[in-house]
Amino acid sequence: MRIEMKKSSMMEDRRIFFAVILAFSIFFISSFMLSSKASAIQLSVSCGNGTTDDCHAITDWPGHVTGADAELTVRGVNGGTIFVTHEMWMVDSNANGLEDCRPLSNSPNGNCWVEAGYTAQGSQSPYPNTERWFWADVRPGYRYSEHDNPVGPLQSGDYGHNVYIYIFHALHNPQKLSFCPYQANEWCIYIQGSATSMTGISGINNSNSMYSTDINIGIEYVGTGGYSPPASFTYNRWQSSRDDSLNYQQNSGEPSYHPPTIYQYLVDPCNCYGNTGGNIMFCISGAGC
Amino acid sequence: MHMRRFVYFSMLGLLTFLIIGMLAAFANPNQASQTSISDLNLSNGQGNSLTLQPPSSIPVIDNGKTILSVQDVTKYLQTHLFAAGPTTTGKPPTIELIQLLTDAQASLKIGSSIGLPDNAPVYYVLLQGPFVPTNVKLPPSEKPIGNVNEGWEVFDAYAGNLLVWGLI
Repeated sequence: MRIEMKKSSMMEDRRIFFAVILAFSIFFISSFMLSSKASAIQLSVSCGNGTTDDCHAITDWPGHVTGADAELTVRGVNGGTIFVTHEMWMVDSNANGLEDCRPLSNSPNGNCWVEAGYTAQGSQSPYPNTERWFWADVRPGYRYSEHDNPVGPLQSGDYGHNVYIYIFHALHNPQKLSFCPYQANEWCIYIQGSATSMTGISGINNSNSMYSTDINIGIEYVGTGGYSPPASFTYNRWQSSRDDSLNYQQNSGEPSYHPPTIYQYLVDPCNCYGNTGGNIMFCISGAGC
Repeated sequence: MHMRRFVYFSMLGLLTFLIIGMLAAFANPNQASQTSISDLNLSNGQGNSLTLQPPSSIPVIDNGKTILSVQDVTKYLQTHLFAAGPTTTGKPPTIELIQLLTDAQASLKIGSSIGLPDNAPVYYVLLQGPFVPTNVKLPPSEKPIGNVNEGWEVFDAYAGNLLVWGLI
């Protein structure tokens, strides 16, 4: 009788053990799936309406370079009403005002830039409720323009993987990427996702004389609602104006944020053994940072 | 014994909860944020309302084998928002110009490569607002740009895709 009771008790223990294992497995799998495809989630946050300041969380590395590249994770982002981007900016601060850098004809003279990444379009944006590769620019003498990948939105194979983003001066094309005009005074954009990609040329007929002064990486958010799990930027490199070599960032740059966007350094870039340019996360507060 | 049963049933309950939660979350991932065209019902400030669709692609003809007409482009523009954002009045933008150009000609006009073969036909469209530039993306050091008077869009004349858009 005692032996039967002991057997029965052991069976019960096993059931409980397997139930616990199963419950935890499902919990972790569902957590992973929700973090990689979070478009159903919206947070009670807001930032501007398109005419006021946008919210950015970024890292700025000042200094003249001929290009920069990085890898960032592609996550399911909900653009809320307007948009959320995860991206890199190559900025020309035009500090002496000698260039004509205006997003609009009647804007004050300011920055020129080329930006590239992916945008989660909000309900009132082009291609609502989708995510796309995009790039945009303000070039000397030309106003703001934006290229949203016309081929289509991100595909399922892009999610959960890194996208490689590289913005560089065509005069300095050490990887000899053939889509970029050889030795031309343009800037080129290379976005290589796991399943889809996009390339672009900012300028035409040697017309983009932008002189880079800053590399920025991070997130931009405008609108109401939305959700952005962390975009982790890794393998952050700058391209030397001296010899076009690509070098890992060795310092933490100058981070800044405007709530509800936020940043978090998981690994600081350092001048140390094993440095790969750091691991820096950007997200909307409450979504994992 | 009762304790074990309690733990056992608690686990079963947790499992059921998680499975139901997952099914609800992934039955339609975009359901929570999906906006129907009627949600973008904009007031034109005169008591009437207009239903402008988000910018997208002009419907193709003959599976994209026939070039779109100016009328096709006009019809699209009268019913869709400008990619930079809505007009301040909620009315459709005023169409100032529709030009059928080659990719090379349009690239020269906007000062940037569009990306199609040089001889591919595209429509260059000039629009007047004023617009609220909700969709313009700026670097952190750039000030807000305020309302925009004019903008342009370039469409693939066969596929109808919006290839690039910009401000003036």
